[in-house]
Amino acid sequence: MTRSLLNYTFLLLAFTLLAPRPGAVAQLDATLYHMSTIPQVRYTNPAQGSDYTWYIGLPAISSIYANVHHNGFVVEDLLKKRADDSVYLDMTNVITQLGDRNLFGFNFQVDILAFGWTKDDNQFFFNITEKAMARIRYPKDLMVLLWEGNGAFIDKTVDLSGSALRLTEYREYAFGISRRLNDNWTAGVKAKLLSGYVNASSTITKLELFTAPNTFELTGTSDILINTSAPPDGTTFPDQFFSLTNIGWGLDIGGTYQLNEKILLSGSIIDLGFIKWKRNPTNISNDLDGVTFSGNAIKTFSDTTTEPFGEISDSLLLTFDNQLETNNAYKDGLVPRIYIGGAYNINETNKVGALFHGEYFRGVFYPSFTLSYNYKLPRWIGASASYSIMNGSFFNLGLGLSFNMGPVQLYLVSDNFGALLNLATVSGVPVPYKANTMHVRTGIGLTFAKYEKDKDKDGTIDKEDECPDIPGPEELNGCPDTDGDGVIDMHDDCPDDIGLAKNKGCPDRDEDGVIDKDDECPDTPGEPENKGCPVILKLLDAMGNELMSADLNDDGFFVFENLPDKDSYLFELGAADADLINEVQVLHTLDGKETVLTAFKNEDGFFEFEPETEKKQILYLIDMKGDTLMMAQLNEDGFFVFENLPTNQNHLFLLDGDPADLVDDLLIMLIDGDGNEKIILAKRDPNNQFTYNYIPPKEQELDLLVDTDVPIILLEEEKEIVNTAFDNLQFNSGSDVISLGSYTALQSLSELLISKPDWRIKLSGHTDNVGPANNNLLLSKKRAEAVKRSLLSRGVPADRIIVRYFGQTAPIADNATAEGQQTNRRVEMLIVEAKDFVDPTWNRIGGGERMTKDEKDVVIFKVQIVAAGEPIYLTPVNFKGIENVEEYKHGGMYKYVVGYSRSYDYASAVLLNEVKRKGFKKAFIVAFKNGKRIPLSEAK
Amino acid sequence: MKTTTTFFSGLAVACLLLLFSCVKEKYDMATLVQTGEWQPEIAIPLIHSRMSVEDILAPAENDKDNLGENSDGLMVLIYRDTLFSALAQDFIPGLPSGSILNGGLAIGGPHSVFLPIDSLDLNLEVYNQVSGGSFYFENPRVSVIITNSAGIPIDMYLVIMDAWSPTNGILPIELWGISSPDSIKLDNTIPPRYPANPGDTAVTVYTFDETNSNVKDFLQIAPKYIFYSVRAIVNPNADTDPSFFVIDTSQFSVEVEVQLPLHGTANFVTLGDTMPFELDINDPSGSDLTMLEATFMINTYNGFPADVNVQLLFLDTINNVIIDSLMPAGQALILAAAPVGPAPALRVTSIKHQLTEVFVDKARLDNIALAHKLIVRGQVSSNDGGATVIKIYSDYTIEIKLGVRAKLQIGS
Repeated sequence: MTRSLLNYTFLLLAFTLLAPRPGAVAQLDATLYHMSTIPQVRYTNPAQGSDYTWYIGLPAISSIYANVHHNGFVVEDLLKKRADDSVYLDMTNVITQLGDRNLFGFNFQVDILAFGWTKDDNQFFFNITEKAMARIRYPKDLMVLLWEGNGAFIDKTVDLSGSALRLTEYREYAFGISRRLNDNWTAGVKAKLLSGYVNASSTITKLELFTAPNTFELTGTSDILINTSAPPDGTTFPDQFFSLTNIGWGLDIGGTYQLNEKILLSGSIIDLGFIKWKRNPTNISNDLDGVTFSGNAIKTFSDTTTEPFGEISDSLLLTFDNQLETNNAYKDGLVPRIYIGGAYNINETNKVGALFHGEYFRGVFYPSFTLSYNYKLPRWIGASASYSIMNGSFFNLGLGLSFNMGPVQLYLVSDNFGALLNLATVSGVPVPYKANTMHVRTGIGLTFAKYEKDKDKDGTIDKEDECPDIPGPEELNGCPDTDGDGVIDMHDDCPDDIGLAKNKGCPDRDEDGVIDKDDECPDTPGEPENKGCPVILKLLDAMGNELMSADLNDDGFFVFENLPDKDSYLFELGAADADLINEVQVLHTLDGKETVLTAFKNEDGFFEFEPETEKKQILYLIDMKGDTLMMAQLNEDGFFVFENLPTNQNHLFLLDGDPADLVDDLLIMLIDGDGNEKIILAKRDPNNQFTYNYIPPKEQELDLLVDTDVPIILLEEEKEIVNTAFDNLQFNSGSDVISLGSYTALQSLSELLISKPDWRIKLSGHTDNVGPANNNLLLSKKRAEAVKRSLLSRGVPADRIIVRYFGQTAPIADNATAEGQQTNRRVEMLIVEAKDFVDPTWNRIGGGERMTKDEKDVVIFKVQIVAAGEPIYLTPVNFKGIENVEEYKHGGMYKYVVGYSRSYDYASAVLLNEVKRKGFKKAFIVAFKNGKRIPLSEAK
Repeated sequence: MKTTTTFFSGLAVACLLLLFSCVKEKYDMATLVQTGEWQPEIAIPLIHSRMSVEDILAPAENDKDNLGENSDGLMVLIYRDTLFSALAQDFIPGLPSGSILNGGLAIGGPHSVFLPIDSLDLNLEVYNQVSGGSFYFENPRVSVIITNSAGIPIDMYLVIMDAWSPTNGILPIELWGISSPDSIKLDNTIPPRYPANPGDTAVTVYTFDETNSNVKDFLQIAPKYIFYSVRAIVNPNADTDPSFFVIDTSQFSVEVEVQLPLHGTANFVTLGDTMPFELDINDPSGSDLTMLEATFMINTYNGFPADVNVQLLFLDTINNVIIDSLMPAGQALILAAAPVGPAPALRVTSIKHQLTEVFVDKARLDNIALAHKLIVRGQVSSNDGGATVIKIYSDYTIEIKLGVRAKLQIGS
């Protein structure tokens, strides 16, 4: 037992001393990867271009490369001090830092000789490099076993499988070539002859120890192979240096791809290959297939000639010893690495890069990632700053510097510069204190004649050539300008015509902002939306000859002065979207008096104005039989005025004239016997008669005006169309004529509505508070209806358009300011569901089955509302969209059946609630059977 | 060039200064100490033994002579010793010494020869090891084997055959119906009483068993010694058979063999053994290793139809003072008996497994570390507290697995 424990101690100390070993190094070179100012960049990718025609590494000091990395723990985790400065190992802390599998590694490389040169599109390079490296992969279980013993693994398996070791030293003779294959691709390859010196390599496929509960029997399973090769004792340095006993081959391959002038993609695989170790090889294997040690025989404890616990230790080792040793040559693969990178050239001197890199060791890939920023002052300095995620650490700040003083270049690159600034010494030897990675590559070399590519041979090197493939003058960054207008061809939309830069090199003779090739009126300034042509309204004679013309003014009118005195006029609209416009307004000035004429488009596409014959619109008050009771004409304020007409009862009107086809309701002024004015709203019914239903104040509490329209949730592009139509909607000043500039947006809105049969649009007219309220109410109505007409003319069905108007009653801004007034003059547009309140279950029984109202022996529950005194006209408006309402009179009251169901629950819970929600709070349920009313209690 | 050299030299010095100015902590590994926090817990198996009856009763090779088995595998303890053995010419009166006598020998007679009383140390280990309790064997036997290579009839009489034990004193052997020991004639009349030809040997076995004697009681007292005295009568009938012969190698001997079939009962039969013991719980190599505590896991797989209570006592070297015990005082490790099948085979039907966990703290470990002797004391009882008759067969085993889970401390 004692011996076993001593073995634990030895292994633990050996490991902990090995981990921070200062001579250990690794070979990631993440910061170097994008530093083209350093020739050794080819060690990361043989296709990476060097900035120099020649470079020569000074023997032994051109590239010294050291790295130690450990993703398990750092020195600070392991070594702690007590108050008296004595040192102890904080293994508990170390174990908490460990991952399941941990990798320690170091690399050390020295270039004995290195040089390279450039010839045309080829770059050649050669190096002789001494390399030493180590990789030790160990599981956390190993440390737990050493520190806590196998008592921590009772009834568990200590799994050390996958542990691995590789220690090796060899020399590399390498020759490589990089060649630019075409404008985008560059490929590089480096072949390496390897001469091995010493090697230890293990393959621990399986190594497990199971401790059984209760008996503590130990079961071991192993599949281990350890190969070693070392020079015989007494081998001298010359013998070693020139020996080629352990020969191997290696290969680096790489490529770059110039995606565009800014972005370079690259990738490489380094250290493919192996060494065959022939000198003094030793192969030790130990395979166990679940061998169990159960303890010694009892008599060994009564045998005074032996030490019982020592016997246990010996027996344990003997049980697990199935060692087989041979001396065969073996191959040991290199540890390949992969780099995949991308660089973005901000400009000539600044570059940012990203790099994914990692190495593959004994079946496990160890990835890492780096972002870098590179600065380069040609012929003098190169610098790089990097951030890396690697070796289990998220905080690795790298730094790279290269100085060129004439031909002498000094460089220093570190992937984790912080490690160099934060050191500890262990018995005087500096080691990284808190870092998982310590890395440095440094050296001194000679560089000559920087090589700059100039593919188009125009004298401007590619890196400064904005058009590297097309010759061009240097003052234009190497780009051609065929028309000599100062705008290079690649940015010139009219490379053969002289033009200003603001017009992308294209001419614009009329300087209206529309370049000539897009301008249908290149010599006449015009509007961009009218393809550069002015919007003109031409007055034609009967033969179609132009008599005069007028431009569109800012108020939306075509202004003609001294218009010939004619009964009618024929105009031709010169506008790109004339086919979308249905009417134009002409401001006719004659003798200082302005008159607005509205001309409507005829079938031939011309606009005609015919003075309206003084068509008196007459509104008749009629009785139920259709006999006229009173009549009124439209006054100047737009109202029909009936005097001595009671305001507290229903009325029925008939409008004489075409407008009856277009309006849904009328504003009528009633003046009672006391001279009180009241404006009422009469709605058009299916018979094109207008009804006014007097609603007593109490009934009005039913809130018949509750708006139950359900807004549609619009997609972004749909919302954009509606908002554009709203924002662009303008009216000629003081009128309900829509400005020409609004038509394009209204056209888009119409198309959208046509494509959405389930939608309705609700137009709500509003005005400011300037002028009489009645006028404003009328104006808001007219403007909303003008929009409706515009939509109707573009094919939107009439039943899909709802018109509301509020006059000045619903301001959304302060009417005290001109801006507020402008805002308040608006027609709001709201997209709502097309179907008004028509419940699909309406007139149905529960479950959706169609029913016949007069089914025999079936109880029907009817939802009714009652009107006392005057009946309610059967219009959808009066019944809030409820259709198929049945009316009957009973007991002097008008009763209306608004729904029925065979199910009382459905009638009560669904139908009645819905009717009440619409405002008919006094609705109720009655039951009928075979046409007769029966008590509800009996029916249920 | 000089400027360049100066620049780089200065840069190198600056780098080194920068490097060593960044040392945040210094560790001198010569001051490395063990804090005592390293306390690994080791769990290992110590003992795995499967012991048969032979391993238990005859641990030494020379003990195995005392073990045998019947044809059905029932184990039998066999103890054998020689009562008397002499050349014929040395004890037959009147024979000329040094002569080879052949046919026509006239020896007269009868000649009666008394052999002196002597004690026979049967070395019945089974009794020697028992220090308490009671047991008895079913159907024990004592056989007297007479070997005669002289061509003369010789009758043997047991004058005395007494069993003696320290606790029970003397109990004479009896043959049913014969009270006088002197009358006990070892009847060797069954042919051949003597060999017909020179060089041959006539062997006669006379067996005492519970059908003809009190041998069961005789052995029940756990005799340490058997005292005996033998009288031999040469040519008891004074025959003058011309075929009598005696040659110089003619020998006469009487041996006794005790056979104890392991078939019977045992009730708290106490067995004990003392052995040297030394527990090295502290590392003698100076690595400052200490055992803080230990838990012993004792797994027994008892294939015997007997309960065994075991206690381990640790003694010092001088006066055998008990300084500790494995089990707490008054308790013992109890190995329950395996169940047995019906008579007459009374074979064990299944193995009885038992796990006993014994925790030993640091104070007791320190005590045990002082011990130099270990007493293993066991009490064996057949099933039902010794009331049930059992049989021990040769294929019975008891398996013991002992593991220890020890918490160690490295450093202090």
